Amino acid sequence: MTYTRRKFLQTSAATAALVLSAESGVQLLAEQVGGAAEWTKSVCRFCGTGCGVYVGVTNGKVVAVSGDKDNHNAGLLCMKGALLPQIMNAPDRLQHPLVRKNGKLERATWDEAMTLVAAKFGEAIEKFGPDSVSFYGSGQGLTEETYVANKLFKAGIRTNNVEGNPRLCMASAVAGYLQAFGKDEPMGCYEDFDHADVFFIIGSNTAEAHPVLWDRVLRRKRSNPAVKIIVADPRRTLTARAADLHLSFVPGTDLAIVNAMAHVMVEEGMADEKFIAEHVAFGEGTEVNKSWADYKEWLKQHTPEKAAQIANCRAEDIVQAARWVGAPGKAAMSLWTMGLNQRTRGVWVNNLVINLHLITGKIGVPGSTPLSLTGQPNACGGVRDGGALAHTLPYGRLIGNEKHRAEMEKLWGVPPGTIQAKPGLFTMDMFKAVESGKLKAMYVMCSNPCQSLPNVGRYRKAIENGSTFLVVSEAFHPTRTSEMASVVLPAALWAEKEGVYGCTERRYQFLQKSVEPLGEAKPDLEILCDFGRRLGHGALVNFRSADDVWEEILTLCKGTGYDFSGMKRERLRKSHGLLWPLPTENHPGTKRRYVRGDDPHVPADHPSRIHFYGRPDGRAVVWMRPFQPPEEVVNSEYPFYFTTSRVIEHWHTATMTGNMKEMKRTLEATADLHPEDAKTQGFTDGQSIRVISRRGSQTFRLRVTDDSPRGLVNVHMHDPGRMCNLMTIDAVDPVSKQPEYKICAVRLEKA
Amino acid sequence: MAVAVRVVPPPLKPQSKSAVAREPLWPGCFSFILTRRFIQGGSVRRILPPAWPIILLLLFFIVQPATAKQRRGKRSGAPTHPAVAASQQCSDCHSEESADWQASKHGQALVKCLICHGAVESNFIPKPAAERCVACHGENVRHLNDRAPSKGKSCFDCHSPHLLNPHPHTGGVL
Repeated sequence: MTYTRRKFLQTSAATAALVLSAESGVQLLAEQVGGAAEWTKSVCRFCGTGCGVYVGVTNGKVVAVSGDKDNHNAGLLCMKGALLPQIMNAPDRLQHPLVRKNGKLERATWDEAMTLVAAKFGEAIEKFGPDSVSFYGSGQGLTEETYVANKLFKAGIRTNNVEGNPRLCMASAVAGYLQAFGKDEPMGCYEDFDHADVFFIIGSNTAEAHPVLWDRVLRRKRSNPAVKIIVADPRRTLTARAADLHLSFVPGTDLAIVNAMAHVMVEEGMADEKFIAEHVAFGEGTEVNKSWADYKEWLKQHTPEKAAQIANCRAEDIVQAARWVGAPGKAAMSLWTMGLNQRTRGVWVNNLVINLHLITGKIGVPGSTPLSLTGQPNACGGVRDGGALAHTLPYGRLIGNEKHRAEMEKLWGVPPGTIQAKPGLFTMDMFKAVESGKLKAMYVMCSNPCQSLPNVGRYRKAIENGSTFLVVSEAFHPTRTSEMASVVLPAALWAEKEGVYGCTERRYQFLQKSVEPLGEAKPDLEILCDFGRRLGHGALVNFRSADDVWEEILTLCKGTGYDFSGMKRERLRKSHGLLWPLPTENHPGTKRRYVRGDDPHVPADHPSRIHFYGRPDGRAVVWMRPFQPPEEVVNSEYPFYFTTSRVIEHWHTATMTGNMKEMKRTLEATADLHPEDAKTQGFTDGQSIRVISRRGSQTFRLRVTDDSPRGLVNVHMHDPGRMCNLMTIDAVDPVSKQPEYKICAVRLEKA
Repeated sequence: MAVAVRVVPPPLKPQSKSAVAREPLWPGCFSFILTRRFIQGGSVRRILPPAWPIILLLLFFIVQPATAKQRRGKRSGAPTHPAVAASQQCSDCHSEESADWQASKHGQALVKCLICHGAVESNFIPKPAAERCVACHGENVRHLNDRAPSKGKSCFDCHSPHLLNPHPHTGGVL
């Protein structure tokens, strides 16, 4: 082979072209991203932020996700969302039904499994009545799925034993809104982030639990450095580290702090007298029978100095926080989540945060609103709005209200008196009924209670030793719940089915099906309809598709405060999220509730700009709630407070994120302790310690860090191998029935 | 979960940062063109006087990417990052990169190292391709090749790794 000069130059040019194209893998990818792969519109599977995503599919498999730039998240996703494709074909995806035989879960056919499930439920209902069975759902199920389960159990089987994990997540926020406004769900929206001058973040590690919303907070701060971020949290979280003011305090004393903030606002003349006179009522206990003067008098005792003493924080910090939040003319937004909700006085502390907005009039204007952040993608849309709890019926109706029951019976086409008048068992009572043997069969859908319940050791023991027939519909196996099941049904996951999710800001969004279910897995809607037919309630669940269910749902919301009957399926499919109320097909949706010109429930000619129509007097209620300590406080035997928290890498019980190869390294939950506490206990960083509460104990690797204040042990909540909930307390808020996950007392030992 | 074994990390930073840059380019470029037998029918001396600076430059641009790719190819078969104990943070070894990251928008938004660089051992991605950016920057990746100045470039040609300051020629201003 010979080379001439000309030949050499020709070859060089060809080589150059080849090398450049190989180096430009980016170019090929860009083509693939833009055209070759198929993209479908969906919503992230994780938290309640509800980020819009496009799902990239190649050869019938989910291979990529890309944030929806036209949705509220502006194309951004958090770390968990970015790695979503990995959950779809994870090694522990369950691909066929399992039935327990001779103590072991063995492969079964769908027919075998469903025949057994129907027989066991039928037998229990026949022998012990409908209240001997229950449904425990999830804020991760699609709205249509949760709706069908709710209808089947309440109108078909005729039991109100319908609960779901949102009881453990946001029940206190619901009660807080209901008590203040007479209507559930926030009045504000995500757009308020872009207008807020002050963010008051309490009981939320937003940076790790709601990263995309946190990024919006930071964007606001970057656009205007004068914006203040206040974080009230015992721990120095990543959120707290970015704050202008971090207010750390003894766990459970935040009621005293928030009352003291109100005290400062009133004392320093920050109250909006006109707004109060026109729009606010005052209450104590359960009665709305107090006045502004009564409230001011009551507040006098709640001085910052007294609160600082109770909370072991600086009174000046409380004053500073109050001055920033209350500053006239500045828009203030409060954000909170489990730190307030998962408490025996969760409803009260929700009341107190809302009070700050009502006395300063900082509500219903851009940038000013209380906004509870939700933990799950469809806790709001499916369970909360859909009324799939033991005391509720769809779209604001209550079991205890005869008119509401009659209305639902008519809409569901069942005889009057079908729906039982007595609320069913609340979540913790439901599992106590397993313990007592009263509950004979339970259907768990898309949740992992045998890891996520507080004082979980007690209830695991009850299931293990009891005779309750436990059906678990789940996409993954084993989970800490499916391992205990009598029957495990393989559920289709996220992009394998279609339906609606409703997130924190009343935003409803459509999830398009992208791929076929893995193996023999089926969408929960299909499983539930099959279950209903086998129980003889075929007429009630005669749905051919999720579209059919949605059509029916639209008839139920009409005329209620939620009215989203303008959200026809096609509109939802095309949209990038719609905010209710949205009563007609041409209505744009409602950014801020109770605001004239925005909320369709406020008449256009209403004399006031704001009208709290949820209550008969049109006023929102400021409640007087004194400080009350948590159920369990520290003593000499259990000298440390114990709390649980998230890390950004994992979500809930890590059934999904534990499958992501990038996240596996961070799966191990650690016990975080302050350096001084470690010193006094004689512990060193990295050693194994045993955390012991009155209910249970667990060994963790110690992480010595000043993230934890003195006197507090923090454990991450996601690890299925080291369950924080063996220690947590199952005491509940008397109103919301939400347990106090966030606070209990423990002692520590070397393991 | 498999318990990660704690190992004494080798000097990862120089290796990961500049393995390519530290290797001499001579074998892949200049020594190659100076091989006398390569061009038959004439001596190197006969070609050099009129055209050698152009040819040298051309060959440098042709061959350098090819050899760089070869070197990356060699690395991709083997584990590219040692296992690290769960207690170890990326910043323990990569303090400089971590400091840059922390100051960046990714750092503020907690888009941690693993999003670009994957996990450890064989799942480590030393030089992330644009596909790692699609989750949040899909639109930018899609339009990367639409027009100059991004045409034919990778994300990190303009956005410095870790600090991510865009467009260095504008002083990091968008």
